[in-house]
Amino acid sequence: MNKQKSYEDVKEYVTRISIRNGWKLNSDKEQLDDLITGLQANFNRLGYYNCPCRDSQEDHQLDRDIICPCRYAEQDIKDYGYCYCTLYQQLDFDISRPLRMIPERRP
Amino acid sequence: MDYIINHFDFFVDLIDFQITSNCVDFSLFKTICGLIVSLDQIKIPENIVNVEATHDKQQYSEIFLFTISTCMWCKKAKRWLNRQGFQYSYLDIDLIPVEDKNKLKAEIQEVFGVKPRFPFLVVNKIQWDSGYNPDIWEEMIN
Repeated sequence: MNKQKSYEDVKEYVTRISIRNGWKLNSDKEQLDDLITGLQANFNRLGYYNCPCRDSQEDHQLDRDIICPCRYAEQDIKDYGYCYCTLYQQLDFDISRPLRMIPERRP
Repeated sequence: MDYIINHFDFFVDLIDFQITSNCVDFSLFKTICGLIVSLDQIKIPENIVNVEATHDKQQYSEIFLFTISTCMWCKKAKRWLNRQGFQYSYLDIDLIPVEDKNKLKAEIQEVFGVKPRFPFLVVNKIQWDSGYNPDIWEEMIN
């Protein structure tokens, strides 16, 4: 059984990921909070950071492409400025731009 | 299928015309009924949450939402419906057993002809929209 993650643990994890990849985190406080609590719930239920906005098969192997940061994030951020769930964004992403759901790249 | 939904009013008028002119073509009627998709064709698990309306306006649309409890877009969708004051029901599909969930998703795909992404909105059991698109939803609901 994995150790349960706190909100702060998850925030530290996603901050580290964003810095390592040259991205930034969603700057909308409510959205960021929703995303972090979603990831936290997924980790504490499944044992891994399943994308909060994608449906899990509750199997690490089957879900490996949608474990945060998902396999599609880099390309989505290049093409749209943010990833599918909007957690990670391009450093120069214009925060005044309204966020819309982007197409699902997952087959 | 989309053709029928998009031209629903036309087919209703056509049937109405046939009835009033006393020349009902039952084969056409049967074909149309067979093609119309409905939420009733899907077996939905019982963990549905009902949200009461918060305004006194008459609501003519029945709203059902399939969601993922951890999803930011789904939370936005619920907040949007709450802000509008609509009465609606929703099901967090990630909170039901995975076998039931997969069956449900397959049924949604079979009935509505689309691989669902969430939130997935169904209005009056026949109109649907996949993803969070409040501009489209407003039109569908009103």
